[in-house]
Amino acid sequence: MNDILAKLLPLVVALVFAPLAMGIIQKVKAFFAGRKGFPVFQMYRDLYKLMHKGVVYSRSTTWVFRLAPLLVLGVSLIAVAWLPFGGLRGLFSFQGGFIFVAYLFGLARFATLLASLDTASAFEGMGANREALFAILAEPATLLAFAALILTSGNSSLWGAISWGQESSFAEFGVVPLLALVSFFILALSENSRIPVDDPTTHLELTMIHEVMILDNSGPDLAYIEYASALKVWFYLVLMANIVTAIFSISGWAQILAMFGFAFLLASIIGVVESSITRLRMKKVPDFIGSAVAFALLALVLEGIL
Amino acid sequence: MMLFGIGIGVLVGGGLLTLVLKKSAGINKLGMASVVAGNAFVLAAAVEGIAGRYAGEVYQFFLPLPVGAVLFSLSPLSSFFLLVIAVVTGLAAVYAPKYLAHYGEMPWRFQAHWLLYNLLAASMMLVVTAQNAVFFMLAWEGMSLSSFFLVLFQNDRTEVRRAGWIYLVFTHVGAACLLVMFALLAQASGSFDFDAMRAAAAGFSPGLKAAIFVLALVGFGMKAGFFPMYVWLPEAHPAAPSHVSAVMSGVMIKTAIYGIVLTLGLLGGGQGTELWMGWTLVVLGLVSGIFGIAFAAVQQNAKRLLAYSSFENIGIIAIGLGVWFIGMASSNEVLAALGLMAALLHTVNHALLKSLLFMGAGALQLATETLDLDRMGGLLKKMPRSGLAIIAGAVAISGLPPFNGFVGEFLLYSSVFVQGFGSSLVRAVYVIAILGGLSIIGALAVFTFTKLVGTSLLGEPRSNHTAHAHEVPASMYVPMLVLAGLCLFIGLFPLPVMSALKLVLADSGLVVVGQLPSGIVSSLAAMQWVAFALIGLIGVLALVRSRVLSLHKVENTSRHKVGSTTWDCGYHNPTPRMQYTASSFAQPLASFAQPLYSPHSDGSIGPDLFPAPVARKISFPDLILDRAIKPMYSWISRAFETFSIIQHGNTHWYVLYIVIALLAVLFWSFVI
Repeated sequence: MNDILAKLLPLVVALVFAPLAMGIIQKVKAFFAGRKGFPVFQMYRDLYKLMHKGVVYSRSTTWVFRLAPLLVLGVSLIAVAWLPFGGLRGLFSFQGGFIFVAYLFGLARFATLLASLDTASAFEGMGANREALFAILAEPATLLAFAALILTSGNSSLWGAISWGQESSFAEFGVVPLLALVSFFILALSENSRIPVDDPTTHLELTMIHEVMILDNSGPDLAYIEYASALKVWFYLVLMANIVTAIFSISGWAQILAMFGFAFLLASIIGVVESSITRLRMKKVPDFIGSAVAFALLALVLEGIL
Repeated sequence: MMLFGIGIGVLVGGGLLTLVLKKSAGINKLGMASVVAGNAFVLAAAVEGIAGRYAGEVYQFFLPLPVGAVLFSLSPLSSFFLLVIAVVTGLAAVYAPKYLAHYGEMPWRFQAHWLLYNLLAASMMLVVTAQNAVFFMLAWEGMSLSSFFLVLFQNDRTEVRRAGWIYLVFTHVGAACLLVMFALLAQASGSFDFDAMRAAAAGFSPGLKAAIFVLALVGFGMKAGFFPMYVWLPEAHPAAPSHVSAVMSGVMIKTAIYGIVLTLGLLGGGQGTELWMGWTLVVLGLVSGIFGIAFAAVQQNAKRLLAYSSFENIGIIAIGLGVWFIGMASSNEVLAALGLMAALLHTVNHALLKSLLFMGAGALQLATETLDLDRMGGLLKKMPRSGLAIIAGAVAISGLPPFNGFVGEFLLYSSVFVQGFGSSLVRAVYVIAILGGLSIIGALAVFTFTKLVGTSLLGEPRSNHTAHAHEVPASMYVPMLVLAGLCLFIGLFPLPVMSALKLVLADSGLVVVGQLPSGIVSSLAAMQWVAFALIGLIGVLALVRSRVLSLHKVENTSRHKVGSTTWDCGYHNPTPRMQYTASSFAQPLASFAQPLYSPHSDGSIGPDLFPAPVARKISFPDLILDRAIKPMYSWISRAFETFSIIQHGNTHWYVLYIVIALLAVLFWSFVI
């Protein structure tokens, strides 16, 4: 029983802290913009507010539109439950688990795309189109980066790789995890619709990707989607924090603290990136995501040679 | 064995019996009934065969053949293919009568159709059970010809005749390669019987094996649709009636996969393979997969899109076969077992989901009188049941959990964890090829099938016909829902399916199944568990949503408002024409990968001073057919035109040619 509870901890941590990480990103952005910004806990209030609102469904939509938010949140919950948090093992772990989780995110993407096409809106169709297009590069980058990280440790699951990394030294771990980390950072920006791929706070629908797809969602549905997005950002932050703590072989209680520290530090870095560069033109986005593929490929080839 | 014989007999007899009837409805009913009855017998035989009841037995049917005898067996592997063929042809037959009815009253055409359909089913069943090369080729030709005539169902249309012609050419070039291959095998072993070839395989020289492998690859590849021999797929599938496309794409092209498995068996199993063969198949599979789905992504015709996607899935199966070959050549049993199991599982998966999707496309065509995605839309509201089945098929074919497509791909993915073949650099290349290739294919499949579903079933209708569409009759959507259910079943319960596959391969001599690597079994079990957890989570989230919506109801105002307009950025009166279309969905991809597609556009959206009606049509010429084969043929025909000087129609000159030729021959014989 205690074992199960311990395995649920990464999920609980994610549920509690994911909205905070979003708050930190926006606070850093506000700082750089010379604004005070809204409180770091604003997203909790937003979610609470949305859960108490009504919901509006367009005449054009079908059950697909109603199912998508449930599926998207469900997938995000499973993904953060799977991801180890430092020394805390995830709810489940098996050979090739990362492939399964990546494909679950693919399922969520499929649902989001269909839901946005279900509204018969030109703008949402456009967003769906871009999301589907950029995934063609993001998917291989994700799988290759995971594979490089996991195979370099001689393991077949992420948990195995991370716990291996914590026991051995930085020198043994080599450059491969660093390259995977770079790849994941680029993916964290592109998969979570951050600048320079997408601007989550823009007001111009024509330039949006993710936000435009959920224009028609409201009330609890929107709360689900927003929460799922926060969990997905948290997923990438914790994934990267895991790699960093493994590289420095931090373990014990220090590791838990370090995990939080790195996760929030990475959130701030995302905030800095978002404040310091502009959104790329749509035509340039594949180059940016392509660099994630390139880093992952390099990692895998080095893994083979070293 | 009796069961199998009766089944084939019912199929052939039923097909002939339709010739007696006069009314279309009766013909269609009898045709369907005979297929269902015949397939029920074959199905029973196949289940017994998989359980191993007929293992090792070869049966002879007394029919005089010029060379050899009619030998066949129901080995577990043959029975496995038999099972797939029986299920898909049976369900497609149930679907057929109502679909055919929309062509109107044309008794003789329906008679021909059912006779050919039954012959196609029977000949496919004979192909996968034949144990003699001559008999195999007879069945193979029967299959090719009956499907060729089935494609020509609407032979009064030019594009159908053209499609049939391309199919006929390709299938016979393939058959020619197979003839040479079997002749070589027979010469080396002294017999046309497969058992004799297997027995003699140990003595084959490496050169002969290489020749046989290449001939099999080209010969069977023409039918299966490997790159660059897939050309007939996107031509023939849209031209044929939908249930025929379902059978051709679902199971007929899979007989070629059986052929490749068979050929390796004839070469003596593991001893017959070499590493380069495996890598050839992997590369061919990757190229087929990526090209196939990339071309599917830009199609506007629903069935053409599905045909390109078949080309892609054959690629995935080829990757599995390649992994099997690599495993055999490097004596890595685990890798070999994973590869062959992935290939066979994906064969079943694709048979189920592609026949489902082709039937779905037929249902859409019946409801809207078009296959053009740009004219569809909003059909899920009009056709809830067919729509549900199509969405299930689309998720499954995109390789997403919890459907069957994912399980097959996961087996292939799992092969990257297998150690002990090649150097570490070779392994890195292998990992990159499998992970990178399959994930690009997967992401493009998501692109393609969200486009297909999103523009046909979702949104608002884009044409008048579509706006007044109706659900198809139950006899059409029930087979589709059954197929969708099978897809979900394999996805949710992969372990029993894996056990069945183990049974099929256990004594095949093709691969050592042994214990499945425990990692795979526990992975599949865990994924099953998580899939159910996800379904549970969705249920809980749905409950919470409906709960909060009813809890926080403000007096007299419902918080659940249905029936507003889509929020189109402040524009309050959106029209269906403002939606994203299938073409607009494809456009960015086409412009990013311009050299691959080289889109051809007619008409313009010119910068005129005053708005005027404009027309613009964008088409994507096929890479091989339009950009390689057609230029090549026109070059050949131009080259031969130079000879037209001597062909001018004057008889006395022709007689003179004969005289000159005779004199030349005489002169030559004197000189020698």
